[in-house]
Amino acid sequence: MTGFEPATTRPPDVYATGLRYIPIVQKYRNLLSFEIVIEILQPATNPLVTFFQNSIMVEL
Amino acid sequence: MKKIISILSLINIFQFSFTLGNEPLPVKAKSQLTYSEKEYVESFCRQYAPAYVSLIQSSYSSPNSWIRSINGVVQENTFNAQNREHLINEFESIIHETTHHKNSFNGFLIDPNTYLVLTDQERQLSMKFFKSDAIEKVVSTEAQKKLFRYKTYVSPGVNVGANNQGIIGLLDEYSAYQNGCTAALIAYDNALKNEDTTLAITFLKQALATHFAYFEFNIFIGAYVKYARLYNQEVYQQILKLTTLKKVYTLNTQSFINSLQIIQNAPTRLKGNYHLVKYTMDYYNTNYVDFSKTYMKNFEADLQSLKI
Repeated sequence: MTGFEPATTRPPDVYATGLRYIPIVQKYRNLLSFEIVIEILQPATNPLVTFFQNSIMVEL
Repeated sequence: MKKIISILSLINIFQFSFTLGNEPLPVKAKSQLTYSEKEYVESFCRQYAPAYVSLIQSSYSSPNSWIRSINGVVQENTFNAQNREHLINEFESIIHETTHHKNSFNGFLIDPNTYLVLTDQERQLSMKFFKSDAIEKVVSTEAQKKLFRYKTYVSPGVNVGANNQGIIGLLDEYSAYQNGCTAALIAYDNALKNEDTTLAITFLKQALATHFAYFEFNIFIGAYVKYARLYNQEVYQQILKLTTLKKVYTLNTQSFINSLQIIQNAPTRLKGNYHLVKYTMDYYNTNYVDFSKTYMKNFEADLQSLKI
């Protein structure tokens, strides 16, 4: 199984935090497995500064 | 006496307790008879992983605020906290995302009672660190292809916190995966104690889907330190001085290893019901654990230097 790009249409002024990426196995269905990505976007003006400013995460 | 009885009657009339599963929601006056999504989640968490209730209370991240893709297709948010099935299915993800939310306040969650905050000096130093995608130079091409989470988190130019924030972002993910996995296994244990094997296996499968993040993030973190040691001595020396960061790595690692041990004990714990989860465990082991576990050995020395 290979990974894929989560949210490929994401605009450049935000980046994903809180990412969760999991494969799920489904033995008894035709689909053997699928992949779930969960992400929360945050303004990416300066990720490091944003991260360290006690800012409240913007959840879309 | 009559007055006291009247007052008690009034309390009875105006207070209600709703039940979700076996756990009653907090009693409220009639005038406040609406429960928030967070309260439903708290109530569920209190039943299966009570240690994590405080985390939900302080930093709850709602599934309806997430962007969720399945095989690349963005899904509509339809989480309903009054639906027990939704609560069960989202439990591990809620703890994972809530941990991220908690970590966004300058610290790292080890467990619901332990939250380590970076000092001002550590923050200043770590802001100058390089992005995680630099590890491309010390991770084999084969590993880049085989590690399930490599492309998502640390491939060149990927716009995610684990890449943009260097080792700080990697430890944020490490903390989120560890706490999600740990909480799911606590829920698994409690469901088994309640003799609800089906539910226990659902929680165990949630933990299984993320447990091998332990090996993957140890590779990413170890590779980050290795790259710094080989190509950026200034950052390397600074990393070794970040006491809080080293504690975060050490304590999260201990907790993660405990969780892996619980998973390894599943055949003994589940006894005759183990066959219900064997296929899933074998699948994850073959496809994700075996390679990453072996490949992680290449970074043992550098990971050791992060331990306190």
